[in-house]
Formats: sequence, structure tokens, C-alpha cells
Amino acid sequence: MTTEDVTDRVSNKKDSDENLEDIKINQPKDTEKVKIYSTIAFIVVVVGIGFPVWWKTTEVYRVSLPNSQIMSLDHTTISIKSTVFVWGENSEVSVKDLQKKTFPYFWSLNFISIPSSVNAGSVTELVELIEKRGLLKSGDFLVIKWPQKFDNNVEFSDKRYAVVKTTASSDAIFDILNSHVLKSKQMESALENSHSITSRDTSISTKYEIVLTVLIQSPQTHKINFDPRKVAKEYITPFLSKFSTLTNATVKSQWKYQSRIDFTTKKIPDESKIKRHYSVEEHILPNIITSIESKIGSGISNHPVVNLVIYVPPCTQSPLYIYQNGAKAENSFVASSFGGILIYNPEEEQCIQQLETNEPIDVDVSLELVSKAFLRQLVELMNLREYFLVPGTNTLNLNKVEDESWQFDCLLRRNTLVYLSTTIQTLQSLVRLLDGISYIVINDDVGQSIIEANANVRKSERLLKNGHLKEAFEYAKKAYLASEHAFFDYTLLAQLYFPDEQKYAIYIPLFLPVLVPVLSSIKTLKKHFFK
Amino acid sequence: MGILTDPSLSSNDGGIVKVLAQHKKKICFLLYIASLGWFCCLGMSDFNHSAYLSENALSPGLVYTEITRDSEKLAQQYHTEFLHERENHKGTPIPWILAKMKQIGLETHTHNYTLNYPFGGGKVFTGTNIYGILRAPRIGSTEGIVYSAPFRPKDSLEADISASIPILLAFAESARRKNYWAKDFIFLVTDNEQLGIQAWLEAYHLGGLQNDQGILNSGSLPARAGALQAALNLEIQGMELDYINVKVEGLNGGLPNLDYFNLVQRITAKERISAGYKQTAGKMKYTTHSTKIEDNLKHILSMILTQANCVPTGNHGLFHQYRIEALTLQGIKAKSSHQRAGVLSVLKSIEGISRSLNNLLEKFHQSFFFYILVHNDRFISIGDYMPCAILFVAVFFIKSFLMWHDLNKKVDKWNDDIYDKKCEGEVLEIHYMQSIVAFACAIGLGLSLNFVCKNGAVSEFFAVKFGFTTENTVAIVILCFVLVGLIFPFLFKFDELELKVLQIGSQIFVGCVLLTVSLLNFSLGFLLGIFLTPLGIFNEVGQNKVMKYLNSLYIILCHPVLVIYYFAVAITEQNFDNLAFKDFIEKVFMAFSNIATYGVVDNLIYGNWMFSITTLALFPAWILYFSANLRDWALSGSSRKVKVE
Amino acid sequence: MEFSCKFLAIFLAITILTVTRTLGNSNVPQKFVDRIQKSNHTNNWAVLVDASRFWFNYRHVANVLSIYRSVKRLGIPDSQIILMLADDMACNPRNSRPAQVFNNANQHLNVYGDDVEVDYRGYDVTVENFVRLLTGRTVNGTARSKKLLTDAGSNVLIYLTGHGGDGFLKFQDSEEITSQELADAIEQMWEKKRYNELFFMVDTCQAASLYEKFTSPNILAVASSLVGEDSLSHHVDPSIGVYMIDRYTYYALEFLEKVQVNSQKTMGEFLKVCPKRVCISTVGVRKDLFNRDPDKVLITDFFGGVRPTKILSDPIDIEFTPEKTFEEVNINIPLEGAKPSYNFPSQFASELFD
Repeated sequence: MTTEDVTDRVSNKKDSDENLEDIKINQPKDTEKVKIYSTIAFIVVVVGIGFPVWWKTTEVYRVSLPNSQIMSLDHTTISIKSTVFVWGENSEVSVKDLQKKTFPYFWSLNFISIPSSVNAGSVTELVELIEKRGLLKSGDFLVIKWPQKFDNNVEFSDKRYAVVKTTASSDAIFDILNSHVLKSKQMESALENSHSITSRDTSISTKYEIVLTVLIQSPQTHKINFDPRKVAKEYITPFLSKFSTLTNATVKSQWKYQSRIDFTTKKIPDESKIKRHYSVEEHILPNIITSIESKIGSGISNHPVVNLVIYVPPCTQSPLYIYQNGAKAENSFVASSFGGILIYNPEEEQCIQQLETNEPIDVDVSLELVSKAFLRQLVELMNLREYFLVPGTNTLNLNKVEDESWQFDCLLRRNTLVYLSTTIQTLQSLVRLLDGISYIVINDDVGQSIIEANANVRKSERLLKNGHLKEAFEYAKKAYLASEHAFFDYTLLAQLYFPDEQKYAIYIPLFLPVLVPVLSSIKTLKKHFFK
Repeated sequence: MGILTDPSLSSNDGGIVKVLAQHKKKICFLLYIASLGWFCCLGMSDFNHSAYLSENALSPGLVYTEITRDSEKLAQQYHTEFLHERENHKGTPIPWILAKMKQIGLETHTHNYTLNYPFGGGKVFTGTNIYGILRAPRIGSTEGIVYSAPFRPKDSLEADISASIPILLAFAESARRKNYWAKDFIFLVTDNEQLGIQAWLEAYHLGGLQNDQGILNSGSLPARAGALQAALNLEIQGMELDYINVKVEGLNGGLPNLDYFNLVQRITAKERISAGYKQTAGKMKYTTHSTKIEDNLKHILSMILTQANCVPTGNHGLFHQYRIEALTLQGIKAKSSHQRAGVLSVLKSIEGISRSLNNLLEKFHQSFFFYILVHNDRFISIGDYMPCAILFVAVFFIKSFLMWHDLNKKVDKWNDDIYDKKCEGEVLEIHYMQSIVAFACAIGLGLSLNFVCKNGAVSEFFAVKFGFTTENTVAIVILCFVLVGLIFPFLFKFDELELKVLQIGSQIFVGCVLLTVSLLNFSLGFLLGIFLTPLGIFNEVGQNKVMKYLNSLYIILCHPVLVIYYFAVAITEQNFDNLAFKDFIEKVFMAFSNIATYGVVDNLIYGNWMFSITTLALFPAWILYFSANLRDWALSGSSRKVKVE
Repeated sequence: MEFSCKFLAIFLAITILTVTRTLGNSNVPQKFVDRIQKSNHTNNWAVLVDASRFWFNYRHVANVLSIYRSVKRLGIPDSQIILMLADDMACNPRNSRPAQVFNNANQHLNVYGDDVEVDYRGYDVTVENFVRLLTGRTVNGTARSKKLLTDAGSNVLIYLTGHGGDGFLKFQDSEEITSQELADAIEQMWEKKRYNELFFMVDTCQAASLYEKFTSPNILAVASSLVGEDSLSHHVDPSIGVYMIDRYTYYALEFLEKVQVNSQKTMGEFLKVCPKRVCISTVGVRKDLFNRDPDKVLITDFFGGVRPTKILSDPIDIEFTPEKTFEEVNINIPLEGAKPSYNFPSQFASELFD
């Protein structure tokens, strides 16, 4: 190769440079068009198809809830309808007076005076007559101003009526109604959802267990003739069956031997045959409960447990009495979340014999005494005292509490109100939680429960407004159970789900590199189409 | 922009690249100086960190040691017995050690291995390791710690470490009586220096899985103790010690976790023993802050030089390939009568280390695996020293990219008339074919050198036919290949273009090699980098004569075989004074062949990379540079010609 | 005159502002809060959590077990204590005194006796389980002993220990609970009336950050250190080789050991139990959510198991006629005369081989 070749090359190079440029610019138009259209297709797929698919598939599954409806529920708008009939002399006047009186805001009371044309010889006949007319329904009450004399100011029946003196004033009748029959105070506290009533309260929990325990520390010296099963079957279960609409309870019984129970007792010499007795101070009682509790297996059930314990102390520690303020008190006490304990001392002579001869003794436990004590404790624990107390007396009449009694109506009303107010609060709290944390999954079960609870609350309120107490109670109970089920559902835990920020943090690094060429190509596209 | 519409990255009109390409040499030289400067800065105390324990579980020194003087007396007793046994027995006193271990109550086993010497013409060596397992009392045997002591026969050239095994046994006896060990302890006595431990480790991890026809036939172990978490190697020289030298470097530049080293420092400080890395009698344990940069750099260089030859400094080095943290405690005998540390202190230190290791629930993972020790309590982490090596690598890559850029421009200009034919890549490639062939041949040469050296058949052939020893065979083979390498450039005729492409290829090749080597063994990579980078910077086709002269000289001086000769000369000089010239040359040749043979044997038995790197990477690289340079001379003789087909 | 008028006006304005602000802020009707001024709790619960594992965190387990002992001694029954231990120190193979956990190098009081009931152990101690426990949203089938069955009359003691940081507590070295999650869980507890009053004790580093986000009423909180400070451990037992107990818990225990069941000591005294010169970190207290004055609250309100009892002493007649539905079943079968017969097979069943 000579230099001339080289210079030739150089001169030719200039022309071909231009050719080069031409070639470069005049690149076949088809390839450019192909490039543009493929870019457009890419953008369409990414933005039009990919993005919506991603959005849909990463959505959190949430059943839609009637949020506004739930938040508009208000316990102050609940009103209870009840009709009070008055029969007797000047019943119209009484009715007019009563209508002027102010009852608490949640009552919507109707006062109707029964004409004197409806007459009968005795109170019971009269009530029969009235009932035949289909008047006294669940939740209603009848005040009879009976002309004949009787001792107290008012005599309450076991059904839905009370008899007062003809001369009873309207104020007196108002008092009877407000404090005893309608029990406005309790109703108000139930409605306000006072802090002391919770789902574990034995009076409103829907299921609980009663465990009867016979606790014997030294079975080798005491042979107890007692069958707790009889107590359960003959006394406690029939009593509880009266409340089967309200709540379900199962009764169990057990014997516990040789459990050491530690508490300090004081020996007090006295004039009895055995010459001394032992005392346990009132403030020691919680210790007894603590030491008993771990031994009797009270932790087995998920439902609230009421323990009724009968403790037979050994002869070295009996007779054992509880002392309150320096004086002997009853041998039975309760603690609200535990149950009740009854201390049953064996006979003194038997103990004297046992201590001398060291032979085992037979202890006969009186069934009636124990049962009555247990029933008393149970009533106290279930907060039912005022419902069974015959007003003006010191008697708890547990016999004839039937479905068709005003006391039962009270209980139904109270429980309905508690269920309603608790449900409303639960639902509103749940809605606030689910709104606040938007990434919690609301699965079908929870969603269904919430919707059902909301519907049942409204139904129950309506029924209550129209005076159908029993049905209102049923729906309120359903609503309550549904709302509890929804609130304590195990899937409603924020820790189980990814917050939205994390979702973006994961997907942005995946999609950004895909989007960058898209965004940068838009300029070229624009240039191409809008030249 | 608009990547979707125009995906081609190269644009010949990029402004910055053009400017850079004009100053490639300067830029690369700057990078080289920057790397060296950074290295020097590492000596400043701002750039190195003070040592700290990252793993909270270790809690060194929190617990009282429970070893008493009884163990010390027992160690003395064992020592006298051991010396007696060593006098009477040839080789490892296996029955005595087995008996002692059984007496202590360990689960004892022996491990036999054979070495089929690759060049020996069927020579077979055997060895035995003995080990006893102390099972942890209350936990399943899922993890283990190894305490090893090598057995050195009396006539060994290395220092006498007769006190290691007695101390090991005394510690085992004391540990056996305790109930708080959470890991199994393996007390191991090896022989044949590093061969024994290599065989034992292979048998532990691969026993029964590999075929038995290899060079090292390690068999299988009858009993194991779970995953090994850590290992401690003892090389105690006597019953009275001056100080302890802690050796950390392992095979191929591996190091134990820094936490382990710091743990040993803390424990030995608590027991008042002077211990440290490259400890000397007068050296202080801890530094004060006013240390001079020169001192620091000296220490750094000493560690780098030790680590660079890929040879482990003790038995502990073979553990690192299985990621078991290990180091060696080398107890130096007290020369003066003033005893600094007795056996009890050593036993207590070992116990303290064991208690801390016992606390571990996970393998060492918190602290650094790559570091350089400046002092016993100061170190440089990988994040700080790696830029030195990376800058070297960057030189190669940047230079080759800029050369390629230059090349492309020129090529395009020269090939415009061909462009019309619309076959864009094809015609160009034909020009590069020769370079690619040359490149492949160079690598092939390296591969064959590697293969031939390791092949037993070749050495047998030579031994049978000419009666050469193994070392001589290896040396002869290497020299043959060197000759081939010298002839290599004359087999190809390159023109300027191909030469440039060849150079770019070799730059990239050397860059990749340097990158890999420095990631695996920073010291070796750094040292290689210091000497290879000028080659990369200043080698170019078409320079002025002076530069070409310097380049050629440098290349010739850098030949790998010549480098080995320098070492051989240095070693011979050191060991033998006042020799006649002929004897000197003979001794140098012998040293050279020994070095080469050991390199090959280490590669075959232990997996030492030095030989592989030299034959597979450095040798082809040298050939390529040499060819390019020689051909450059040839081309500059004639005028610049362009081959157009 | 003018000045005092102005002052009065400003004072009134500020009072009105603060009152309206507080009224506006709380979403709880004022009635709720007022009625709980007097202590009317009916039972006590305790949730004691050790959130860290590994042998060198021995002191956290010792912390929790010591508080467990005190709480149990003062009367809270096991069925009302939820004890969560993330690791088993007593049976750890590194424990040179197996089956024993000590909280003091000198006294050698074994806090891991034979009546320790651990409800959540090992890897069960997770953030999820803890939040489930507090909110009541446990998985179907959870054992009763693993649930917090509190009601509106329960005073709950929550004690947390482990490693913590600014705004979080580390569980098991792998996850964390943030102070926001804790506050949310307790808010859920309040919404469902699952506590009467809550006493929140934390012994970790930067512990005060954990109670910063609380908004529910009736909470008294104490933390062993403020944000930015580390809680320190007390001492090492060199024979075991680990730190035994943390400083704050050590001094708290010293105080609790002197408390008996009928003690009149107050929470105010308990809050001051670790001054800076012994604890080195500053103890943080949060009282603004608590309605009563801590100086007038008994310590047994939270640490003891005082249950109000009522003796049924008033004279009451019960009229009740039982239903005689129960038949007498003769349970005692006389055994005389019925001697059981025993049949022994032969020692070697040779008949099989004949």
C-alpha cells in the first residue's frame, strides 16, 4: 500500500462521511415505525393492564360494613314501652296524676284505668278476668286498689300485679312503680353501661359453671355423710332452671381431700363443752380464698366459674367461727369473682370424742342448711338480691319466680338494656378500629357477625319500643353474642397484616425500573407524533 | 434518552469520554498513586479502628476460672511422662495418649490416613491422628469445639513443642469434671504437621463421601461431635513461658473472626500473660494513641507479607476453609530465669476461652472476617483497605475501556466504505480473529502447564527415562514452558489493530484476575497489584522508544519464574554465607525447584492457590504482554501499515 | 386591683381552656372517670413478660421470676398470673446449677422453685401472642391459662423486661413491639372494659419510650430509664458467669420483700424506690393518666391479691321447697362374701408349643 492509496482514502472519506450521515438519518422508516409502535404497545400493557391487575390483586379483602348505621346507634334513643293498669276507686284520677309525673327518659309508659265494671270477688279472680281480656302482657303491670283491709301498704304478688290500699295516694303508687316495679335506677345504670357490669358478670354472662366442692382436710378422722349431688339436683338446678331463658349454667360437684389450707386462727376459750373455739378475722378471709383457689381447680373452664365450697375443719381447728368487728358472724361469705365459702363445723360432742379417742367420727351434714346457705350465696353472687327480696321484709322468696312475674320482667328488661348498650359500644369501637387501620382483613365471618349484630340491635330497639319484651330480649342477646364474637375474632390483629406503606415499599422497587423507560420514551413519542 | 426507542448505548459523540480518552495514561497513573496513598493513610490512627467485642454472648472474663494447682501438677506429670515416651517410641506415642485419654474419661478414637505421593512413583506415607471427645452432659451433640496439639518428633526441624500435649490433656481432665459445657470438646493430637490436620478435617466433613483414590486418602471418622464452631491450636514450647504469640493467618489468606482474636486478647490480659499478634518479648500489649505512621505501616506490611503467600502459619490455618474459626497459641519458652507465665496461667486462659466459647449460641458472625491487624488492639476493616486493591483494578478496566473507545472511533472511520454493505459486525470481526486465537493459546499454555506439573505420569516418565528427582522434573517442565512462552510471539503476525485488541483483552484479563485475587486474599492481590499495575498503565501500542525500552525491561523483570528466582536467591543468601559461585548457583537452582515442587504439592494436597494463580493467570498474562511488546517493536520498525482484506 | 383582676381573668381563662381541652380530648364520658376515684377493684391480675432469650440474658429471666415470686407471695393466684418466659435458664446446659435460677449472687435464693407455672414459654413468646393476650383475640382453642380473663373490676399489673430501644421492645432477638402497638392493645382493653386500673412496669434500655403513646385512662406507668439512657445490670455472679439481675428490679425487689399482705405502703413510695445514685439511670414515671394520687394508693392494690369479701350476715329467710326428684341410689355395694378370684397365666406358655 502506498501513501497515495492513503490519500485517496482520505479524500474519499469526506464524501463517505456525508454518506454516512445520510445513511444514518435515512435509516429505513419501517424500523422507526416499528420501534414507535412497539413502545406504545409496551406502555399500554404496563399502564392499562398491569397496573389495574396489580391493584386488584393486592387489595385487602374487606367485607363492606354499614359504618354510618353503626355509628348512628345511640343508647339514649332506646325507650321501653310498658303499660300500667290501675283498677279500683278513683283509678282515673290516679292515672291522670301518674301521667303527669316524670319518669326517667327511657320509659314510654301508658297508664290505663280499668273501669269498675270489671269486678270480681277476690283479687285472683279479678286478675284472671283481666288476663282473659288479653291485657296483661309481658312487661305490663297492674295496680289494684283493693277496698278490703290488709296490713302492709302494698302487697306484691308473684305475678304481674300488686295490691294497694284504696286510700293509697298517687305519690305512693308512683313510688312503688319507680323504685320497685320498674327499678328505674338499675335500668338507668344498665343503660348507661356502667363500668361495673361486664361480660364476665355472672348475672349477665350467657354461660357459666357452678362447681360445688366439699373440702375436707383430714378425711381419716371425719367421715362426711353428705351428697353434694343432692344439693345440686334438688336445690340448685331447679333454682337455676327458672332462669334458663336468661342464662345457662352447668352444675358440677367434687370432693377435695387433704388440701392444706393456710390461714391464721385465734384460739378463744369459752364456756362451751369443748371449752374453746377458733376465730378467723374478716380480713383473713381473702387469704382463705387464695389458698383454696389453687387447690380446687377453678381454672378449667373458659366461662365464668362460681365456686361454692363447703369446708369442714378438722377437730383440732373446730368449731371455727368468722368474727366481724369483734363479734361472731355467720359462717358463710362470698367474694364476687370467686364464689362462696361455707364453714360447716362438726358437732362439739363428736369433736370431743374424736380428740380423746382419735377414732374417726361421722359428720352428718344437714342438706337443707347447706343448700339454703348456697342458694343465699348464689343469689348474692348473681346480684339478684333485690329481685327476690319481698319488699318490706327480710325474706328472699325463691319459690315462685316464674316466667310470668314482674320480677322476671325486671330481669329481662335489665339484661336487654345491658346487652343493647354493650353491643352498641362494642360495635362502635370495632368500627373505629377497622376504619383506623385500613389494612386489616375483614373476612366473611366477622363481616356477617357485625351486620347481623347491627340488624338485631335495631330490631330489638324497635320491639322494645313497641312493648314486646321477650322478643326484644332474644334479639338483644343475639346481637350481643354476635358482637362479642366479632370483636374477639382472632383474625382482627393488626400484626398479621402488612401496612400499606410496606406494600408500596415492596412494589415500588419492582416497578420503578419498568416505568423509567416508559417515562423517558414518552418524550420521544411526543416528538414523533406532535412534530 | 428514550431507551425504548433507541436501545443502543454507544454513541460516538459522547463528549466526556472523548476528553477522558485523551488523558488515559494520566488518569490511570493518578489512580495508581491514589491507591498507594490510601494505603499509607491506613497507618494513621483515624483510619483504623480500636478493637471491640461485637458478640455480647462471649462476655470474656465474667466467670471465675475453676482450674486449680492440681491441674498444673498433673500437667507437669504428663510432661515428664510424655518426654519419656517420646524418647522410647519412634513416631507418635499412640498407646500412651490413648491410655491417658481413656483414663480421663473421653471417648477416644484413632484416625489413620495415607498419602499417595503424587510424584513419588508409588510412594505411600501413612499417619495417625488421635482424638478424644468430651460429650456435653446435658445437650445433644450438635456443636463442637476442637482443641488440637500437633505432635513433633524429637528430630523435627521446627521448634520443640513438647508441652502442648500435656497441657491439652490436663485441660481435658479438668473439663471432664464440669457439668456446664454446652458443646462437645474434641481433643485432637495430630502428626505430620499440617498433613494430619488436613486429613482429619477432610475425614470429618467429607469422610465416606469422596472416593479413596485421591492423593490424600483420609478415610472416615468413627465418631463426630456435630458442627464445629471454633478451634484452638496449642504450640506451647515449655512449662515456663515468656509470652504467647497468637498466629491467625490461614490457608489462602483466611483469617479467624476478629471477635475470636479479641477474645483471646482479653482473656490472656486477665490472666496476665503477654500475648499478641507477632508478639515479641519487649512489645507492649496495648498501644497508646501517639504511634507513628511508619510503625503502623511496618506492622501492616508485615501482616500483608505473611498473608500473601497463602501458606498457613500453623495448623489452625486448615480450619478456615470449612469456616471454623481457629487460631494458634504459640507459647515461646522463657529464656531468662524470670518466668513470666506458668502452666497454670495458660490453663486458665484456655479455660476462660472455653467458657466464653461455651456461651455462644450461634457461629461467630458478628465481627469481621477480613481485617488487617495494626496492633493488638487496633485493626483495619475491609471497608477501609479494599479501595486500595479496587483502585488497581479500576486502572485496568478504565484503561481498557478508553482504549476500546479510541479503537472504535478509528475503526469506524477506516471502515466507512464497508458500511454500505450493511454487514455491520462481520467484517470487523475477521480482523480480530488472530488476537482471539493468540489469547486463547496463551491461556491454553497456562492450563497445560498447570496440568502437566500436577500429572504424576509426566514425572514418572522423566524419572524412569532420565533418572530425575521430582523437584528437578518440575523445574525442567517449568523451564520448558518458559521457553515456549518466549517463542510464542513469533507464531503470530499481528497488525496494529489486532495488537491493540490483544492488549485490551489482556488488560481486562489481568483486571479480572486482580479483582478475584484481591477479593479472596487481599494481601496477595495488593502485592500483585503494586507490580502489575504499571504494566497496565504504561503499556500501549505506538509509544516513543524510551517508553518502549522501559516497558520491555519491566516486563522481562516481571516474569513469574524470575520472581521465584529472586526469592530463591534471597533465601539461599540468608541461609548460606560465603559460597563459591558454582555452589551458589546450584543451591539457588535447588531452592527454586523446591519452591516450585512445594507449590505443586500444596496445591494438590491442601488446595493452596498460589500455584494455580501463577500458572493459570500470571503466566498467560506475561506471555500476552510480552507478545504485545515484542510485536510492537516489530511493527515500529516498519511503517504503519493497514491491512485491508 | 386592676392587676389582680387581670390575673384572675387570665387564671380563669387558662382553667377553662385546660378543662375544655381535657374534656374534649377524652372520648370517655367524664362519668366513667369520676366513678373510679376510689379503689373498687375486685380482683388482681398480673402479666409478667421476659422478652429476651440466650444465656447471657439470664438476668431478664431472673427479673421476671423474682417479680413473680413477690406477686404470688402477696396473694395473686397462679390462675391470674400470666408468666411469659422466652428462654429456659434453669435447664440450660450452661447452667452450672441445674434447675435453679438465682437473682442474687449472695443469697442464693432459688426463684425457680417447684411451683412456678409458666404459661408462655420459649418460642411462644411472640409479639403476636402478647397482643392477642392483651386484646383477648386469642385463637380458638387456646388454653384457659393462656388467656387474660379480666373484667371491669380487675387491676392489672404488666411487667416487661428485655432489650429495648427508643420506641420498641425486642422480642426473642428477631422481632419488636412498638410503643404504638402497645398503646393500641391497651386502648382495645379499655374499650372492652378489661381493666379497672393498670400498672405498667418496664425494665429495659430507654424504657420510658414504651409508655409515651398511651392515651387510655387509669394507667400508672414506671420505667427504669428515660429515652437515651441505658438500664444497667446490677452485679455478676462469677461462679455462674452472667449478670444476675438488673438494677431497677433489684431495688424494686428489695422494697417488695418488705411488703406483707396487709401492708399499708403506698405506690408513691414504690415509685421512688430507685434514685439516680443507685440506679444510675433516671426512673421515669407517668402519672397523668392515673386519677388517684399514687401516694394514697396501696401497693397491694396492684401487687397483692386482695379480694373484697362479704360475710352474709344479715338475717334472711329463704323460702324454697326443693323438688324431690333425686332418687336414692345405693352406692355402697357390700363386699362381704364376694371374694375376687385371680387367674394367673403360666410363666412360660408351654401349651403353645406342645
